[in-house]
Amino acid sequence: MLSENTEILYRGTEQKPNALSPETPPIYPASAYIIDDTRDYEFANNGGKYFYNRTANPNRDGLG
Amino acid sequence: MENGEITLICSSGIADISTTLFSLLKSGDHAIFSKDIYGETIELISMLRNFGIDITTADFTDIETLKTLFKANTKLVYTEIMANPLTQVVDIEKISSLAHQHNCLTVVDSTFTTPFVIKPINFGADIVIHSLTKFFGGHSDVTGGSITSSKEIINKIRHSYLLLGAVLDANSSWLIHRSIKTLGLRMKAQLNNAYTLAKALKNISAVKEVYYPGLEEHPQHKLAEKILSNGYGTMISFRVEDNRDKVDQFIHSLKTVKYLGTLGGIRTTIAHPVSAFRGEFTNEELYKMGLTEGLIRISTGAEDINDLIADFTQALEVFV
Repeated sequence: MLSENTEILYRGTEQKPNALSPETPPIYPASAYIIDDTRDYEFANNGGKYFYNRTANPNRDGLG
Repeated sequence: MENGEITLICSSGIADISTTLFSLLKSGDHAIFSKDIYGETIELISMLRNFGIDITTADFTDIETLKTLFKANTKLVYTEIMANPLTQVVDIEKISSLAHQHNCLTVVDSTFTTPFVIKPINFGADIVIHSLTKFFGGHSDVTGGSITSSKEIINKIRHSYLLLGAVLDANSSWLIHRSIKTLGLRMKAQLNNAYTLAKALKNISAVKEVYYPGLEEHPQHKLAEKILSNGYGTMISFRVEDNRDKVDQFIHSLKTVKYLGTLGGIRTTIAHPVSAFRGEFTNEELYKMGLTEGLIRISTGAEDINDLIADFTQALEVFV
């Protein structure tokens, strides 16, 4: 079990993507996105998914 | 916070670096860069070469060699205080003094250290830049950068800053302004955690080596003790078996700590430096740089230290 100090840093960060269907796209302010492992990093770094805001951002891509 | 006279706020960390360099260097100039700097700054060096700027890269922990690299047209020396990912610390006082003897400016990217750990201007640096995305933002939810210097130098940079469009938007400025109020509190917790975590990692059998300036065996420990305040930074690297499959298993086994392509946030994150550089260097070059599959970098956050040690300890069991 995590201490309260640690839990408070993580609580609310887990999302249920399939339960979300907003009519307008959400704003993604995150400076970086979680990477699963080194292979996933390679996939992301080759444009397969988002990993660093300056490199690519869903809102910017939507606009571009 | 950096004891400069003016700070320009930029749209990203790389925006402050490119704005500074494109403002101060022109075709025919020579500049000396530390070889152990942010990967995208290394890529930016290639771009500068395309504009006719002569660049030399060097090991800045070797002052005697550095002394021999200055030329009549050398205009600028560029370094970071603590290198990524092996945490080498440079003697910024000696480097600045050497640069000034040759009428050069010293530019320091102090992102890893923050003014809470060192104020490079106090050690003779002329320009200090930060990726505000990291510790200043602190919550991995904003992107920004900064350039701090004297009025005279900022006046030389400001025009390019405006023309290159490197300005930060209002919302991000507001977010970083809010976050700076807790920078000291966050840094204190993160620095204490990093020191304790580095020592704990040393005692885990799967860990072959720990790179942290706070450890007595670190090659620049005495220098770090002399120039850094409040702690030795929050960045730790450690080496395990050079086995990519096991490294991936280790990443999957971490319960709270996440793998993220950034650092400096309030939550602890790890990175795999070889993966970040794989496309840019050959395996042989990476090996020479000390970047092997088993090298992991930690950006220590503000969690309860016992939770952090427990998470790393259980995940590292994949190497046993």
